[in-house]
Amino acid sequence: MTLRYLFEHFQNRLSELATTLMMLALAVHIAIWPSSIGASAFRGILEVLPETLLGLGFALAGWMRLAALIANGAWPQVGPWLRAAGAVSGAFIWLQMCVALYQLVPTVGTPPSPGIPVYFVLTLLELASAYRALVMVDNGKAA
Amino acid sequence: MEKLLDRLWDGLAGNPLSTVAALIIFLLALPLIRAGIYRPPAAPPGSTPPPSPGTDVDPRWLIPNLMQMQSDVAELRREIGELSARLEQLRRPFWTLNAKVDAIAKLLRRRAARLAGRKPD
Repeated sequence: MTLRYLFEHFQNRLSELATTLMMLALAVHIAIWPSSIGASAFRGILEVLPETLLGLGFALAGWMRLAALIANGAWPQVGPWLRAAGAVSGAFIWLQMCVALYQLVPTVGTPPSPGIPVYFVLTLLELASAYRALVMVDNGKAA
Repeated sequence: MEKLLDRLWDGLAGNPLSTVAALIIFLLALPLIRAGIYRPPAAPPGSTPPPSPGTDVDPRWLIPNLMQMQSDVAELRREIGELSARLEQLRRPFWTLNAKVDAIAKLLRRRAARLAGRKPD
């Protein structure tokens, strides 16, 4: 399996693969260091989601999306729904992280974090992925 | 699990900005889900008729296009011939011009010798 083969397999779904890998990496990170979120600038998210739910959510959504992306067109009925569910949950969590960074501003008294636009664009990217999975799918062929 | 979901609900309810963010995602996801539900069903593989083995081209389209192609090819052939002739002229060896100059010089020299050798009247 070469890098070329991987690019050809995922084609225009590379952004989805990237966010999926982010989710899985975050799940592993939280599993190893459960207090890392509380010690970081994202600690505001713990008011909404506890570490356990955050880590489990990342792991579940990440594996689900990775399976659907690898299966590609082999699951014409379930695949797009799995990808869309993962993308919407990704959009939810990235926006919550964006909000957590924004809510830190009055507490710390510093200018807003440069991570805010990054997580906001990630949110838009996930919504675009959900749109591609559900709307742009063409007669069972994965978009 | 129920405890975790209760905490999620409490967290969302206690944090208005997070609630708004979650609602925005939910509202944006709704039309996508609707589009996914009402998507036309995928055509089963093999349901489309196989293409006919012969050439299936409309002759009303084919004949004028073939004639146009033929006249284009003839025009191209004529232009290529002209270009080839011009190239051939350019590739003519320089010594052919030298030979002409030599012949004219020879004639002039002969004429000069004849004039010089003629006795005055």
